[in-house]
Amino acid sequence: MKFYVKAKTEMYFLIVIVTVLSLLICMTPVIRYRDLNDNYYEYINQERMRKLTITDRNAQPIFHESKFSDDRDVRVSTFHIVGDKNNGVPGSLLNDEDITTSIFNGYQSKEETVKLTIDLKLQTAALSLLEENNQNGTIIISDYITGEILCMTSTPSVDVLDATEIKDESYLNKAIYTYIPGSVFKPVSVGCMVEKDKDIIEAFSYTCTGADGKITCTQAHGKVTLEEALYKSCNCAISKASEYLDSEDLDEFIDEIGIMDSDIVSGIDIKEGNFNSKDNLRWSVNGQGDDLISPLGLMSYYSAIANEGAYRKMYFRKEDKTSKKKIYFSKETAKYLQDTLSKGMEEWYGSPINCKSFGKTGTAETGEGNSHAWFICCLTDENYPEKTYTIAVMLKDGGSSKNAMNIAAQFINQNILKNNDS
Amino acid sequence: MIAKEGVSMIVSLLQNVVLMIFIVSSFYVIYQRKNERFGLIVEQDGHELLNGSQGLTTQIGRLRINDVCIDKQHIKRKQAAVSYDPKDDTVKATQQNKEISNLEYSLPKNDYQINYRLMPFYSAMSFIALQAVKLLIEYKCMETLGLYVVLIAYLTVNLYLRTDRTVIIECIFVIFLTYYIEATVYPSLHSDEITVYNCLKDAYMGVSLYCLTALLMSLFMKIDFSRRIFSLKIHDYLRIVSAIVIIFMIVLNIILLEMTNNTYNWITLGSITFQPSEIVKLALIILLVQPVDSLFYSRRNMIFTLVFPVVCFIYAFIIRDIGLLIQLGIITFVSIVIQNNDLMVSTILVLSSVFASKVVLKLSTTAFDRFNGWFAKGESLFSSLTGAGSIINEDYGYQSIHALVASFFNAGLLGNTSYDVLKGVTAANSDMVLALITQRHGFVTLVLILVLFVLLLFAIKQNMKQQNRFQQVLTCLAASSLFAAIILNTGGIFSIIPLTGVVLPAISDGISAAISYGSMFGIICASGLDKKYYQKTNDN
Repeated sequence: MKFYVKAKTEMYFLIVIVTVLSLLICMTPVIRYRDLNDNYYEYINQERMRKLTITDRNAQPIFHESKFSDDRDVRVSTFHIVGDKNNGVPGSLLNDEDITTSIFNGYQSKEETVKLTIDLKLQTAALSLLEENNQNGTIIISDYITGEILCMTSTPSVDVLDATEIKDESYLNKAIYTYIPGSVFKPVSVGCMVEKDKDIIEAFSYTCTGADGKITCTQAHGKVTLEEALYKSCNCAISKASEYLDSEDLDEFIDEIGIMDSDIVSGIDIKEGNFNSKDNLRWSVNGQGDDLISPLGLMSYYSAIANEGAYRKMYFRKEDKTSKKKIYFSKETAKYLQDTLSKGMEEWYGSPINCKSFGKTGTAETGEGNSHAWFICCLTDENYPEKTYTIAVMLKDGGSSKNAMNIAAQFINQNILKNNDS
Repeated sequence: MIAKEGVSMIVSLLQNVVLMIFIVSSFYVIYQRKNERFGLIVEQDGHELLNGSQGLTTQIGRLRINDVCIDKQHIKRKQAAVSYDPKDDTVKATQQNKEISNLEYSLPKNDYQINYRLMPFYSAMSFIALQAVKLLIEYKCMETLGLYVVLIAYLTVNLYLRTDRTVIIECIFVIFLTYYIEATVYPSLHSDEITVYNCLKDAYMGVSLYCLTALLMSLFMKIDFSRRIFSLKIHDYLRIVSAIVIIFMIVLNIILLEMTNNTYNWITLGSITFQPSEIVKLALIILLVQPVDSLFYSRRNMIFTLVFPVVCFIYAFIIRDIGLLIQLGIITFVSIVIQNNDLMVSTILVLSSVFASKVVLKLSTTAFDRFNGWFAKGESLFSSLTGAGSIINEDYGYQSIHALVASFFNAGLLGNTSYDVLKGVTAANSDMVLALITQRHGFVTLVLILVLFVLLLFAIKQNMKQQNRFQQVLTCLAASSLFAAIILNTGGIFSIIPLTGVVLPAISDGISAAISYGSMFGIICASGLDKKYYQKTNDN
């Protein structure tokens, strides 16, 4: 073979090799997409954590340069909000699900400071209280005027630096999960009735004998008005009052105000609630039956009662602050509900909280094992103009609603009212 | 911050467009020149022996063709030469100093218009300018501009030195060097101790060395190596000098043996640290070129073509440099295959190289480990070829996975200078340089660089037509060496083949490689085209 033919052949040979190599290179990301993408998100999340600082509302550090706080209580109480480094908590701040990368220039790294509306003092106090009482549940505090969430803790929780012993449901944030509400749901039903027809306030009257068909009460309440039926939590009377409603009314009302929706709070996805009154309106109005709602969803309703019918969207990151309001019901209805529940607080519950407030308890029968204990209240005392708070306590399998109320009262009296200066 | 990212993205986009224009116009120019011929057309008894496409074999106005086949029986032993003198327009054919009759000669005519001949040059210039802007935005250091001035000067000088005014190979070389600059200043991004100025010192040194050696080499190639001084030809002196250099470098390296990065190929002389193996590689390439009229089986030739490569192999094995060993093997293999006409010799060589590669894998634990790391056990070969080994074998895959993620995910289409996946990865700007460049310029640029490699081969093939025999052999060897490095490095980075620690010519950070690879680029872009001859064959 002539020399130059060989030389030419060599060049063609190299061209073929380089072309094959190039094709293989271009195929690699397609074939290994999943593995490489997982690795990429791991790297990005590490990088993001390296540049991320999370503080509470008073600039107390919670997470800084990939390190968690040294305080065990801070770590455990904020676990469901902050998350861990392994994407263990969906919806948490350290979770990589909302990292955005661009097809044009990949991930853009930047210093990031997330300032939470959470108050670490309240957060750790709530954790201690739940742990002392050996309860699995959640304590949430929000400001009904501004929408800020000051405390959102859930037990059992996880210590990210010492995760040797992990209890059941530790990774679940109970504040955003749905449970059967029980009687704390009654103000929603009554609110709907009053909105539809104001005359019901005067016109309704019922004599409770402790049972009405399948509906039962814990005691015979005697002759009650609508007001009394609500604060005394008379199941029979409320289910009787539901006759004033068409079967779709309550569904429409709940759909409209959106307390079952997943976007009721900014920046966190909440499990969607369930409400279907078609089959069993009489139980549904009492928060039993198929009803399922998240503590945050119910809190939004109570906040609206305190805030003249308008719900200010809740948020826990300062950056999520919006001026959006949603009108749940009229001012009159709000005033009616507030007055009724205030009365209940004084007369029925015996004023467990050392300031002017209104609220409602609930014992949700789950049909198996213990009931869930609920208590949601709002502080409306003019002596504490700063403390325009809604407080929700939900104890999963917590037994009687008194347990929830006692914990809430203890928490409010010790941590909110005493530290008036904070 | 966002504005900076935005500008950087726009510059990247423009760079890609310019690079595309360069590639398309270069291919177009090469396509237009596909029928260009610079040899003599030789006819014997009305039968065409050579059509002139074999390339020219002349230096300084003399034309010589070696492969004229007069007597098929004696082709191995008796070489004939034809010389053409453009001054007198005469042709003289000799075979062992005897005149050959009954041959007819004519010059080929290249009388066609070549459009957009200067387009590659202009687009390469624009590319350099854009690269300068990009680096200026990022480092805010005016001193970087000097580097680009050197590149522009190199390109312009070459344009005027070349008779045919086509500088595609030089342009590709310079485009690579712009990436070299980027890779060299890269360490200052993540270190407080290393400033841009420290890096710039290296960059100036490297770029100057690359350009200077390339320029000197392509000028050096114009010398008529068949001219005699005393009893020997210049070519013979050159081989002897290369042999001495090889021995000297090997001895020097073995005396000053010290372990750096798992290999022994770095030595320190005073304040200079360099790799003698790079010089050995270059010297071996020159040594392996057989003089035009010498016989393959002569004793001197056998020493040069067989003994010295073996010495070099043993040396590469001692310093544990697998990449070097493969490169030397390929150079030797190519040199023997293209320079002899014996099928038997070639066959034996192919078989022995297959055997040698197996022995090396068994003897060297490093090579074995690397191969095992790359290979995905229990999966198909195709899996291993697309990076499965790097994903499965975590010890091996750290560098590779970061490189793959950086270039295919973090880079995006237009590059990412904000977040660096390769931060903290060993040899990010030398062994892993293509991943680094891709991360900074985007996936589109990676594809374009791969196309540039192919374009480079087409350009070399085209340029060989205007080279003489000596230059052609050297070009073949240099191209083999360059592409061995390119394939080993690129394949290694993207897990197509095991990592070998070979650097990418003209892109990877490092000064030792500047002399050898700079010279190789000088060799492949050398042209033996004479101005007068060019005017005679080309009407335009």
